[in-house]
Amino acid sequence: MNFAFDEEQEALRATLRAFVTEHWPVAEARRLAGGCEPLVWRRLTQELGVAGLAIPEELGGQGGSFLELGIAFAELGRELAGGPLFATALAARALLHGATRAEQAELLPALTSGARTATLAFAGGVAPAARLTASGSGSELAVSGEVRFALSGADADLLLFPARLGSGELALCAVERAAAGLDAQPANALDLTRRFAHLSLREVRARRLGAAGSAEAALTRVAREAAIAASAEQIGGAERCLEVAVSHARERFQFGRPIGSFQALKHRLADALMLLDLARSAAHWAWWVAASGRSEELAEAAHVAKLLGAEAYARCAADEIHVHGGMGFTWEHDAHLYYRRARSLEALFGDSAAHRRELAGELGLVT
Amino acid sequence: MSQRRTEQTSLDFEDSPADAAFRAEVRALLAPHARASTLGLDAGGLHDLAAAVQDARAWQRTLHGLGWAAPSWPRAAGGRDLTPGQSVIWGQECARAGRSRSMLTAGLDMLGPTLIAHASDTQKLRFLEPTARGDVMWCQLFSEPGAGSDLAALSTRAVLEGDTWLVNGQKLWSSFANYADWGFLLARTEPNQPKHAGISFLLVDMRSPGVEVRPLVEMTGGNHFNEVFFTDVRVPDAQRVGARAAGWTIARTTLANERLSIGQMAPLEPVRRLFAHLAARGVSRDSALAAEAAQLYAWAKALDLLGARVLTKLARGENPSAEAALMKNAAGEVLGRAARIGLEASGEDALGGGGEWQHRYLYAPSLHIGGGTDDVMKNVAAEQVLGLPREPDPWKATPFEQLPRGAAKP
Repeated sequence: MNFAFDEEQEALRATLRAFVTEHWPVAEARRLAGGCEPLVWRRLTQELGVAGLAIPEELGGQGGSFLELGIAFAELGRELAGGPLFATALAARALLHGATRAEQAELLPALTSGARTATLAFAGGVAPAARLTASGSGSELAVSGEVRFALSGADADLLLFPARLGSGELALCAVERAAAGLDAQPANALDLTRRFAHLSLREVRARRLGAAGSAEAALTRVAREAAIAASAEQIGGAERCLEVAVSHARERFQFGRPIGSFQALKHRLADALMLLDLARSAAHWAWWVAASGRSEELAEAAHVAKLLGAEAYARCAADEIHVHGGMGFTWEHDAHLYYRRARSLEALFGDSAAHRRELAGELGLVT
Repeated sequence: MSQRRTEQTSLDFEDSPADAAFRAEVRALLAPHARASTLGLDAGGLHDLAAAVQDARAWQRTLHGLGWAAPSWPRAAGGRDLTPGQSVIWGQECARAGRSRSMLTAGLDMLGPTLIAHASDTQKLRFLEPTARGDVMWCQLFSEPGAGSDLAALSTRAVLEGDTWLVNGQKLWSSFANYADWGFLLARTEPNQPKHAGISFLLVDMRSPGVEVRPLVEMTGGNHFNEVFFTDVRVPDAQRVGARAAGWTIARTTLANERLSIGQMAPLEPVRRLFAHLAARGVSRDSALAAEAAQLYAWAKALDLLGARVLTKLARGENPSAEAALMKNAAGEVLGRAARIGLEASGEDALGGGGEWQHRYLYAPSLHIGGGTDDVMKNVAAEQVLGLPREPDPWKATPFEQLPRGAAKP
């Protein structure tokens, strides 16, 4: 048992902290509104390799594990940075679990190098519900249907979907951005630093990935990994909110004292810290479960990490606003961007109600 | 990054090969003594304390015979020098074998480490071995009617006459003092000093003339705590631990160990029992109650993991006492909520007396008070982890005897 990251992992964290703070701080994230600056994107993907942290080296990745991925998205989450990186990294994992070796060799290097972006187009749900129907046979399919709130769905060069075949079988499909019949409309989103799109597909040419019959298991695994990756953004963001709140509480004087010396505020922030400590412990465990491929624990890890991440982030983001008083309620202050991200992440990849229900089922409530 | 780490340099929730071997060793050691774990409640929902004390002493003697009486202590003190990680494995395996030792924890987990850190060699020789054997059961004599959260405001006096202290005063909330052989006492020896600077740490034979123990009946109907009255009790100066007036510093060692042991109580087991109860009651997973219980399970699981993080800090020589403070709060929250959900699932049966969930419900308020209240724990975490400024204490430097006294009845 060892609950500490190693030196390389700590170095990765420090490198990313410095890079993101300098090149993609929350002010930039606000300006870019979920998009990215090409030069910064290139450095983040090519020099730092963040899109392929948890992808093997022979496929163009860094050969790290989900632990490195968790560390990276916690750091990006601190500044609401990354644009389409989150969607791209998850799509890369989907290819890793759901595509054949030859397909991986063809598709992954362009994602890990940052040359192309991608998304795994299912936003809701704990499990990958297929919103698309597919017809055809072999690797050439035609897919139709609507997908709401696809993460970075209007920006991604490559879109991955679960689709249901006429036989009832689930298939993992890849669609090129430029494919005829694909319409992507930017969605009006709660989160101002992340983009979503509503997708409409009419008989769009799609490529079926992976061996026949393998999509269900692969997509279930990817859905759980997506929830676990969300926990990284949750704890990174929550941690930043609490830091900013604490720093304000130490500097802001009222009644001749720093407001942080009043117990009413200390207790509020200590409670937030308790939740953050719980969420961090759960997230780190969940990353480890995903990293070590412990399939029997993956569902529980996903539910627990995302539930606590949501609770801690909601609390820390609300507290940041509260501690700043009226200033915290302004458009100008960054606090609302985190408050929005906290709730947006809670709705993404299965909301808390769905995760609680699944977890209750795992724990023996069957009716 | 291509070489995967092998031996526990990275985050890892599995036993290392060495820890796995250790776990196998202690499991084999405990196997012949394993028994079904019970809550130990009688028909009225109360613990039979006298029997529990007998049982704990007998098991401690067995452990001593096996050479495992206080394995976390250093070898020089009769222990096995376990690492913090091994201590947890030991605790887990003891629990698994239905052998926990809560009745003797004051001596083994709180006073033991305090003596090892602060006592003279003579004192260690005199007290550690009988404590490890279960022959000497200890109780803590810290809190007073006028000194709860503000423990340093304690007013039990000890005056030196020749080489003997004369102790007068009253202690409160002493767990199992009615069964204890000895107690460790904080007494005011220098009333002309500020409150933290005038306290000494004394070891008292509970059978000394002038010691009177009055059991308290708690709101559960049980008797865990006691009041202890001291009237001209004579305590040889040789039973003072550490320097005169250094008692506060020494007590902090004891309190940190107490907090750590409370925070480490396994919260997952009661929540698993809760789910079994909900399933037996036919609670649907779509119900609001199931949702509450699932969120609670997430807390309990994370708390279990947080315990591992605190241990990693200990193993690295860092001080995790502020994290332990919040863990104690979280544990209280988890167990309290589990009790409420358990009773709610019981429907009208919650009107009756007795049963696990009612016992837990009645016990729950104490979890937010004992070992330092939630409120004090939050101050500790806010100041030591978040770095928020201390509440101003205008009386910090005032000699104890000049402090204002509240109007609380004696």
